[in-house]
Amino acid sequence: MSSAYGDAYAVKMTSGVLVTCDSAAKQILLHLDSSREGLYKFMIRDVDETHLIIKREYVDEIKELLQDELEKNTYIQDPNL
Amino acid sequence: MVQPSFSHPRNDSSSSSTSPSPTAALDTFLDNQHQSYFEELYKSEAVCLCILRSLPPVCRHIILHHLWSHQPLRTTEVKSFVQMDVKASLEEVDEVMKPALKRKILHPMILKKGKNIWSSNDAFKRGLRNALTGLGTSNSFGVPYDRDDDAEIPSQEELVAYGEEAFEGILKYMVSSGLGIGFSVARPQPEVLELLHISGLMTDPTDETGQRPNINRMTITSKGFQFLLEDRQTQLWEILMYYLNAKEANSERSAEVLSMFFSLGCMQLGQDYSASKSFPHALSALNDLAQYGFIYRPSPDADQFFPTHLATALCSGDAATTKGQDVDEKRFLILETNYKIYAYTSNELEIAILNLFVDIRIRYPNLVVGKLDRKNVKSAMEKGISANQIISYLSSHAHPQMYNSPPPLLHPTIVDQLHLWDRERNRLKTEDTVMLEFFSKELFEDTVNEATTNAALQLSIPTQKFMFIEPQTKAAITDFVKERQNQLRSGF
Amino acid sequence: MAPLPSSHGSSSASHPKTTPPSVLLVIIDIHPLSWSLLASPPPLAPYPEHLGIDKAQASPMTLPDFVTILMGFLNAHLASRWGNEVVVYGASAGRAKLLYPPPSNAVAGPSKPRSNTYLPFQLLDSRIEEGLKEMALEERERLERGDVKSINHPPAMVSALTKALCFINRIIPNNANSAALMDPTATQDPNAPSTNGPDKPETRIMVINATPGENVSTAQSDSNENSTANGNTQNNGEASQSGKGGQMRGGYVGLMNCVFAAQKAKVPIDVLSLPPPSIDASPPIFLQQAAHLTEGIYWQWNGRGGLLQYLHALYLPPPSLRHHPFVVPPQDAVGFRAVCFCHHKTLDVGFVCSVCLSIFCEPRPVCLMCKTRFPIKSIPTLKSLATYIEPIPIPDTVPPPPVQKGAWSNQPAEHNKKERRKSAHNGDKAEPIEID
Repeated sequence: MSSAYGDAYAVKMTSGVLVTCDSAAKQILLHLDSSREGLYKFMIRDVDETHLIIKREYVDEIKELLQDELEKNTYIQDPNL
Repeated sequence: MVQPSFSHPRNDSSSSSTSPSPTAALDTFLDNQHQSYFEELYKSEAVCLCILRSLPPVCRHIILHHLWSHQPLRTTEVKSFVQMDVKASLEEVDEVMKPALKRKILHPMILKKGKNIWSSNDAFKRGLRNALTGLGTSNSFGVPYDRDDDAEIPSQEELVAYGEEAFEGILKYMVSSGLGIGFSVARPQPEVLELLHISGLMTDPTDETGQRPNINRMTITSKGFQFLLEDRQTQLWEILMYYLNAKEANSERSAEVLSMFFSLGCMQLGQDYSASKSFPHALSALNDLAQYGFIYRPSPDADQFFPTHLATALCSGDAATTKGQDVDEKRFLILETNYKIYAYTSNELEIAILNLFVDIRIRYPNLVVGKLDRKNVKSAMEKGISANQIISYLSSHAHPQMYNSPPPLLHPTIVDQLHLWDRERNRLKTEDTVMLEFFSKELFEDTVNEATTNAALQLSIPTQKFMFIEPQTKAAITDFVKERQNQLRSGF
Repeated sequence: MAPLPSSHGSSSASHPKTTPPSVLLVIIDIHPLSWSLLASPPPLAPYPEHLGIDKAQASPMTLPDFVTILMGFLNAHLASRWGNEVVVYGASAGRAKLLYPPPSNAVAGPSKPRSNTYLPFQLLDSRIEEGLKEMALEERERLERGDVKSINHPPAMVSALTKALCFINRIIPNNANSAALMDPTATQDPNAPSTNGPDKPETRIMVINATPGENVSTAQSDSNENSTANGNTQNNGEASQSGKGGQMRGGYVGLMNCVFAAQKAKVPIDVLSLPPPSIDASPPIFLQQAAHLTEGIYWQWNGRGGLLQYLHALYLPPPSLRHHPFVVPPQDAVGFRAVCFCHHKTLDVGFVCSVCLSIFCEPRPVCLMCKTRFPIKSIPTLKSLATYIEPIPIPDTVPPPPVQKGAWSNQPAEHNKKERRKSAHNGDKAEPIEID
């Protein structure tokens, strides 16, 4: 968009999906992403404590992965107790 | 008892949003009607009476206060009546009378001879006066059926039982379609099934297009599950409004049908009325209502009909539909802080509804014991039921014994846990975005302001000079940025 | 339904969204002599301060006319909320009777519902009419039996009030008493569960008085009913010294006990006094006290019509809406005088037994009520001291309303201009207060 990239008024644009979540969930997402390679990485930008930008095509997949991960960390009482 | 609960502020806000009035469906419908529709409705005294009662108390009393006056209602009068400052703005007083304005009981405020006034809708005023004095002529409270004195008539209990059976039959059919529990339920009439489909409460999963459903193979939708958890009066009004909307969709006139609903709501349980004299213009609609148990007819083509408690309680404004019957039977749940639920009921329908989110462990003839656990609650939430709906179901069915412990009625531990489970489902919020990174603070702030005024901004992080905008506004924002860039650069 | 939109922080957001069902207990004074007075009122004194009011003529009020108006009002009460109920008592000379609802053992009401009347309205109206006719018939039978004296008894307000209080006690279970009897803050409790709980009704009593104070007391002294019809003009003058509120003669203690019971139970007693100033120059002070002590509304009709509108405007809002958000009409100054137990005289200055608090008009060596003996020596001292006591002018119990809230005088219909007669009058009359 601008000719000189080092220009003080340069603006960089990125398209993607903005994810808003709590920081715990974000850490899980970062972990998921770090275990992936090359094309399968879904994260575009780590914005701040509670925001991420990810690739659009992975949204449904990582929602499911997150649920699975959370499920692993939930204590479920043995119904026979 | 002081509850050290972090959820209290949230409870307050959620309780107001989760316990809407039972007539919410009707309100939405009426909010979208025009003046002429109301003129048509207000021909019936019964409608005027019911609409009056549906107003919030302050507004209602001002209307009553003003009922016998010949003059238009003045803003100064209302201000002093509700102890508002004389200098209060006109918007503020208008806000007080807004419910009446929305129902077209008053015409919008005008300035006349230096005074701000609302003039009243003559049709409503006349209707309400006639309702109070009994001088109307529209037969809106129902023409009694002329029967022989020794003719046998059903008792009130029989009518209640009849109405209850008919309506619960429909609900049971809905639940059983979703859970596959073996109820031996009769399939409702085709017209009823059609309405359930149109309203989106049930759907045919094999029907891809949604156009040609097989109404005999339908299953319940998540909207249908939510419907089941509502209290009875809300369900009735929702059904009636689906019916009315279906009529409107067929471009039939619905005002007479709606006015008939109100008339039914003002009738007396145990009294019989003449259909052809009471509702000469809405006979077919009356026939349709019979399928839901609103009225009872001794024989299918008789002119004589008895409204059941479903109809007579339509306008009673309380969650408890009828005296005795519902109040006691609907309050059967005891919920302990350890998530155990004791339900003193043998009603198949209620047990099936409980089964939606409770892990039922023990069943006795009059008692069901179960536990609210994560698995069942979450599977209910998968079906589209929210935590607030479960909470309002639990509190509206709370056993009188539960009221003996200090408030709140449901222990905060459980309420909080339900909310937490609900939130677990949605830990991520995702939205399409375009991110802009800036280096210049000035340009960043200008762009943020521009985006805010155009409602394009999703999020901005000033410390890092990031901003996020709606993707569809990308072109416009890009143009703006370019323009500003040029201005700023040439400024140096 | 249709709750007020809460989006704005305006004052309407703080208005209550629901009110509990309300039970209204009405006591109508149907004393035949009082109504004969009301049916032929003397001309009203001119009211030059306000031309609009002055133009409205004195309007005679007969019992049938009034009952029609009252039914309109009671129907409006029933109409204003589902679950609202009405109870009506009639108070005639020396007796009171329940008119509505009919006792449960009575035969079921009218045969056929009318197609243009809401059935509860029809039941109420026809039953009240029947009840009044029955009472009138009994009254006539009493007269025909030669029991002429009984007609000079004052209306049995105390009996009716007692019955009403018993009724309230019966419909509101005892254990829930303190909580159930309305506390307006309780309904606005933001905690959701309490609103889901069974709705507790709020109750109020409305006394409709038709009997002017002094006339009945004179009627009692010379036991001649004719004198009441024409004797009112002479009586007005002397009334101020002797017989104010005399209709409560003998029933004073009973009335006050009822008032205190109602006050304790937080049941407001509203009072509507029908005799206009031309008949009754002084208000029925004990009923006025009753309204004041129970935070009810007291109002005296000005004799110029517009009653239906007044009833709607003043008495229709339930207690939970009064004071907040609605304004309560300014109340007149209340005379807190008492009646002595020995001669039933209304007193400015009295003597109170230090043991049982009975009130006497003169110092006594032995209390008539509790038989306590007082030192005989103290009596002359008391008597001499009493002569020095000067009546103290009472301040207005209610400060005059601020100007901007004076819209009560801006009633729309012509003769509905509320007249603030008393507050003007009493301010300079300087009524004495009872001290002891």
